[in-house]
Amino acid sequence: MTYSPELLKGTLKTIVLKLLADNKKMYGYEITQKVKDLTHDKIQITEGALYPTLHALESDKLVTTRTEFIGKRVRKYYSLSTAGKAKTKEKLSEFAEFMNTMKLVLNINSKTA
Amino acid sequence: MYIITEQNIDFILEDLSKRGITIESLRLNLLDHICILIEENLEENGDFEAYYNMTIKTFYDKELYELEKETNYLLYQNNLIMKKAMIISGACSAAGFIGGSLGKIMLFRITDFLLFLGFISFVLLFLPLVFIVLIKEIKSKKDLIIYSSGTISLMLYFICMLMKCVGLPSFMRLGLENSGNAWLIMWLTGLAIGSFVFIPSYLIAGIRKPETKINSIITSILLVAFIGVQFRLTNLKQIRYSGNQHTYLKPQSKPEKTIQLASFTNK
Repeated sequence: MTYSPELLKGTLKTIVLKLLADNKKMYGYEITQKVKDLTHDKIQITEGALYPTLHALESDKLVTTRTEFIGKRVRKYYSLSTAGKAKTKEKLSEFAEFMNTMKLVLNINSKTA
Repeated sequence: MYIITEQNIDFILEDLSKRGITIESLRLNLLDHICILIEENLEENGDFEAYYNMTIKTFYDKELYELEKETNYLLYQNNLIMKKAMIISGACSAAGFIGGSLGKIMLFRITDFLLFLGFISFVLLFLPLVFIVLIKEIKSKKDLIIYSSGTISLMLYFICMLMKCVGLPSFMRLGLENSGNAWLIMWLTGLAIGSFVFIPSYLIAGIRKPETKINSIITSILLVAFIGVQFRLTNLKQIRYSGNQHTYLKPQSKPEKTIQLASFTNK
């Protein structure tokens, strides 16, 4: 079972930031594979969602980039900036609170979950 | 494992461009992603083009351009309100200028008010908003110099023009001595920033890129010509009022015998 894109849309930034916090530097394909592995294929980040998000994070100066040439092609590595590290903590605590609130709203207990 | 060749890379880059991916970094990201997928999944003697076409279809719902659209949306969503305000103030300004010009032809009394509205919205709203929007997209210090010098130069130029055209209270009316000189200094400062900071930095930045080289040269020549004409029309002898000279920016308290060919006012 994979989750619907609507469910994932608001969480993508948080996922990417957390992965970068845990892995120092990653490139796009690596991120998609890592998420697949960690979630046992339940979450599959599409290229159409990932790259716009990475560009937005770069534009907001939450990540820094470093490019590496592999022959004629370029690989772009993303790392968290100082602002990105702070933002990751903020996003994670916001998400944790959100999950608790959703549990209350939807009356989800440990048995149904 | 398939080995990606340089021809394959050129093919992918060209195809991505054809499909509407114009952001360079996005194109390079996709190139690397596609290359990895092909290298990992295609056999050594596999059909590159067929596999590429199959893979690229998994990146989008309707067309690949969606990725660029989404990227632009995420990059500029914070600027949308500001951009709308910029467009509205620009439209107000244009309407003011056009209305004022028509009013001038038809000798309507509302001319000054419309011109005033045009100038004010242009100088106080449109130009600062353009500057703020552009400043968020700058990539280097050179861009910062170009945008800030251009904005300051234009603002000074239009403020002086506004004072001249609609006859707002001048420094002289405010009781300041040598008011003509104050305006003259402001006017010349605007022209100087345009001439010695904006145009050189714009030209240098433009000629370094082959795609903007010709445009930069032409625009710079036009700007030099425009500033040259403005400078020619400037009366540099403000302290000793020199009578019949067809110039901008003369002291406004002595207009009786002056033929103001360059003035836009009806008075």
